Amino acid sequence: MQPRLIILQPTPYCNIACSYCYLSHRNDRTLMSAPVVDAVRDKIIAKLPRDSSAGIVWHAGEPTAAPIRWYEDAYERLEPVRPPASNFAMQTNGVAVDDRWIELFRRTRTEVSLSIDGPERFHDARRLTRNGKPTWHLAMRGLKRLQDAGFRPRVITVLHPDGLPCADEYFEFYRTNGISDISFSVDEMEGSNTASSFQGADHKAAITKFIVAVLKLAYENQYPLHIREVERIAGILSGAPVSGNELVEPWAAVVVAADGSLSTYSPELMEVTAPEYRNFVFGNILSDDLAGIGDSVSFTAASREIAKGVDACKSCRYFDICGGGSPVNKYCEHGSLSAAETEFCRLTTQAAADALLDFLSAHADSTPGLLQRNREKIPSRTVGKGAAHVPIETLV
Amino acid sequence: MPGTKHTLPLVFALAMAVEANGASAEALHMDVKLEPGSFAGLLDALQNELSIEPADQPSEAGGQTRQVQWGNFPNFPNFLNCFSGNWRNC
Repeated sequence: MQPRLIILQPTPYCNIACSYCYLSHRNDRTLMSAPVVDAVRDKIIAKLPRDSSAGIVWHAGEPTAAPIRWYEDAYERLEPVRPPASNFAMQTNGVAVDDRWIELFRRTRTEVSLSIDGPERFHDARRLTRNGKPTWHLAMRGLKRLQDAGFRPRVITVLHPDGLPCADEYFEFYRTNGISDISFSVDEMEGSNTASSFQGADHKAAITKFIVAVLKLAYENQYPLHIREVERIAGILSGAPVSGNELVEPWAAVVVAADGSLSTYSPELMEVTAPEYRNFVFGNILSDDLAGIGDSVSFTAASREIAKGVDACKSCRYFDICGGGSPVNKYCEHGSLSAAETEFCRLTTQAAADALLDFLSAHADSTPGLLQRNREKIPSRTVGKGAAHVPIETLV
Repeated sequence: MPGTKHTLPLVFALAMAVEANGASAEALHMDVKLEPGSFAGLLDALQNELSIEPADQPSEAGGQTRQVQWGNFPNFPNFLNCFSGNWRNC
């Protein structure tokens, strides 16, 4: 058992109320106790191999709802045993990010990822305060503060069908705001979000078209936009090592809730009501060891069904770039962990793969392509080796 | 710096490789099962042009700064020398 992703939930509480939120405990102000942090240290992080590059992620509710002093104490407990190549990260809505948080991120080398649903009108349609007020300006203030401090946070954007015809608006939003590392998702039918905005019609082609349009704009404008899903698939198809799908591999991802509840596969599973699997809470870090949980009835049953679900996916065209889908979506959409394709698969992994292929196919016939046009523009005097490099003084 | 990306998007490199190789849409095997490594050969033709060459030069503050230029993307900003503000102002 070698976790590659350790998801820690300091508090289930969230300071805003997005209309598509799947968290049923987002009003609960419980804070992870010091004994739970110590148990995470002793039972998970201290047992990682010394060459582990595991990510340790502070995650939902909203992690900045926990006080900075709580993190200072938690880092003090965890940092001494952390393998050198592992790293801390935080997924935040950015609303509370100020200089004190940035100082903490800097001091602890914590990577920051922000949830911003693109341009103001799309973001503010669904990401609201608890009083129903818009949050885009607050999130953008957090982004700007981070950028001014030298951070380049990844931005995760949850799409809505209304935004799909507006790829140019999204691209301009990313470029204007210096965002070069993004990830697209869709609101999922899981936990307390009982309906997705993508239900009722087939949006796969529209999402594919949207991603292709964003890629085309970025390429033509030579803006180095990294779309995480597309880059990952491009890497696999180019021969990069396949890291595997931690969503279907027991304990590749470990989730610890504020009260010490332990789960694996994905953090969303703990939001699902599933008595046959003890609601996917397989133990508690205060009283259980991960190794011992492997024998429990609920864990064994869930693992067996998830493995069946992976087998059912093997004939899928996308299997080698996906690895078997997402169990939480299988369960929430089909009521079974052993199901195969889900809408979530189609709207995320499949759409990203199709977008990559469509984008590349378009370049097969582009004459002259950007490559040729740039070759013609590039002066002969160069820096470095290789005739394609341009004089450094033309860059600044 | 945490969260910083300094690499050329791989999808851009692949697009240039497709242009350079004159690959047809059929060659991308749109309708078959996607296989790891199936694009590996595409990048071979561009190996030199896709290399990223760093160069040291004095910064405005007087020290040395390391800069990076992407082959065939002369308009790309120098991200290593652009820690703050709007991309267009870099």
